[in-house]
Amino acid sequence: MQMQEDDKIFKVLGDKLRNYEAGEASDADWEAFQAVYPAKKEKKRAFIWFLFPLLGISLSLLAWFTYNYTFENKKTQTAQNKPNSVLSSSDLEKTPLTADSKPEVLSADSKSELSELSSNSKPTSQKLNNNNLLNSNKSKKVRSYNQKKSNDGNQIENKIESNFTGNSSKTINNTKDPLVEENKNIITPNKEKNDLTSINPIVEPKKDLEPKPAANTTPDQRKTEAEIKNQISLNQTSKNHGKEIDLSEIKSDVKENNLNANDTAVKPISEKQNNGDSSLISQVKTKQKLNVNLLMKHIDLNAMLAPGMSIYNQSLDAANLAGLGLGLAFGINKHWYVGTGVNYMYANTQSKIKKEVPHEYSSISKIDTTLKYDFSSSMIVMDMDTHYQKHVGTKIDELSIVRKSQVLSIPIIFGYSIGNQKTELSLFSGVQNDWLVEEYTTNNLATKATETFTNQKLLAAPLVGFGFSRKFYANWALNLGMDYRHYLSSSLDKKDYWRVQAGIRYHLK
Amino acid sequence: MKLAFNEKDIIEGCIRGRSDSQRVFFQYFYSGMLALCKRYAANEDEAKDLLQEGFIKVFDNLPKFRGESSLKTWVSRVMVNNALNYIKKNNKIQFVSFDSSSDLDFADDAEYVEDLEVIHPEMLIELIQGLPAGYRAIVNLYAVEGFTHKQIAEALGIAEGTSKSQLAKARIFLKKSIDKIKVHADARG
Repeated sequence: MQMQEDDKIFKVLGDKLRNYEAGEASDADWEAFQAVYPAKKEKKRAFIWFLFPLLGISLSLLAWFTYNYTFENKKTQTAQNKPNSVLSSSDLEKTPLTADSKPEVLSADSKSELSELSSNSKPTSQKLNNNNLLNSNKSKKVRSYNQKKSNDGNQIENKIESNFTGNSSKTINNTKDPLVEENKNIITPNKEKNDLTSINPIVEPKKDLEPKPAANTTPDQRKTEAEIKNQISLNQTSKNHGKEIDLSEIKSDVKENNLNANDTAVKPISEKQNNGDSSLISQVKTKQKLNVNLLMKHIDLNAMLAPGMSIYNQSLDAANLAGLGLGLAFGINKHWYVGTGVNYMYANTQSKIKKEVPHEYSSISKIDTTLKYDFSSSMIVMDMDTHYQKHVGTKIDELSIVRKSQVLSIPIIFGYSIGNQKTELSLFSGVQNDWLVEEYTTNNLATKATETFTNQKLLAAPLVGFGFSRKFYANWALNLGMDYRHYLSSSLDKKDYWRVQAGIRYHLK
Repeated sequence: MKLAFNEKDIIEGCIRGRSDSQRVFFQYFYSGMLALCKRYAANEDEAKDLLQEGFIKVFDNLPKFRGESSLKTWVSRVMVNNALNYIKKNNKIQFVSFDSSSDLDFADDAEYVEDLEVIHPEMLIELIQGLPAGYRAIVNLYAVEGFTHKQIAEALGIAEGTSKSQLAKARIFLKKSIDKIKVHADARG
């Protein structure tokens, strides 16, 4: 009984308080709340969504540096450690022979060059300076060595002599010299003298073997070349059957070829630097890593001026769009590329409520002005969409709604392209991050008062797409592409967007 | 003018982060939730702080609302939990002793029930705000939210017996407060 009485007091108390409402919310109450809540929410979103571009940029840079470092490093290491394979012309260009280089087996192809070298009755210095000899595609494949230094002279002599015998298809790596005697019968005395002179510094004074500078070299270049050749020739002679064979001639020949063929590969090397392969290779590697021209060859620059032209699936009274952006695509290799950029878009739309709204505070008026397609002159994925087309009216008598949107977009894409010099087709995917700032201004029909709401959102959308690129003049190309993206944010009415875009690209190559 | 609102659309708008939908929601529940927060708070400022924190939790947890109860019940529950967390976090569940020795026995309850029915709710809230935080929470949970002593004990982390005894003391405190109001009213004529 006591408990029932006790309950009755609290029951009355509860009944009176349970449904009691303490005043209505004022604008100040809402603004005070809004000042706290969006800040908290946006901060959290900012932390999450801005990870995407940061992650994308970081991965792109990491991929680029990793690729370039390993690629160049691999190339130089290959050139350095290739004992039994034929060096390519690029290897020879990028990895000049030094005093410590080990001569190996000459391949069969080398015979033509050696034949030319030995059969030519011109002075040796002229032959060594014959750029055509070493610049020909055939001769670039020639140089490979697989034997020790002590056998260098013997091998080379054998090769030269074997050429005189007409045995051109055979690679000679015999350390003995059975062909010497045989060839003595073939070579005429004068010719023999000339040929032996050309490869034996003992027969003629060393100074006569100095290669004459090429016609198109500068005095400084000639001087440097001569220094290098002297240095190498002084250190690189060996004996074979009583004859001293100067390997430096061939090596300096290669060196000279490098110097004459492409001066971007190797600069004149001082005596101090000419201590071995490692210093030279590191020099080459360092130079390539810092080569701005090499970097520029990978880059496409895309500048976008994007006057708006939008098609809406619902009628709008007015829609003005404008965008400006800049994009960059970095080619990782022939096919793969990474693209990023930044785009600013401004949109101004105005809608009028066509249907009269009942004079109650409860009315919800929706205006569907969903953007269906968007054409913009942007190369990479740029956005000109309007995210908040559906408007939920909060007040009666809304006469019109003016909505201003500003979007800053940062896409990160990875693409694969195929094609030729003129035309390219590319497929790409990535993520686009948008920072949306929008402002509603509503006009009240009854009071004629205007009220403004502002909203900020950070949005992210994975995307996929494809594009065509057609070069029309020099480094300029026209682009046409289409992409699809899906926004992850739950705050959008419409999350899926298709877009067709056209643009202009400038390739920095 | 009371806002009648399209619950589904507004919830959807709030979940999507629309400030205009949030505003409608805020305005719709503001009055009731402010009264709720006042009952758990010691004063008006504390009540508004609780209200603000409560709304943030409501908006953050709105996607979890499954419609198993009415929206108002759900929002009230979030607000109550927020208030209880605030009380526990600030170590306000202290059942300080006050003069509960009284000759106000249960037989007098009928008289106080009649008095309660004529007192304005705002004044009743002031009476409750005059209680120490621990007692205030128990009265609110028992009388307004309809919790049992067991549920109160679980919610506040106290013994069930403590809940009962403190409620009894709170009842005496309320009776005394009602007496004071009556005296004050009589004095005013």
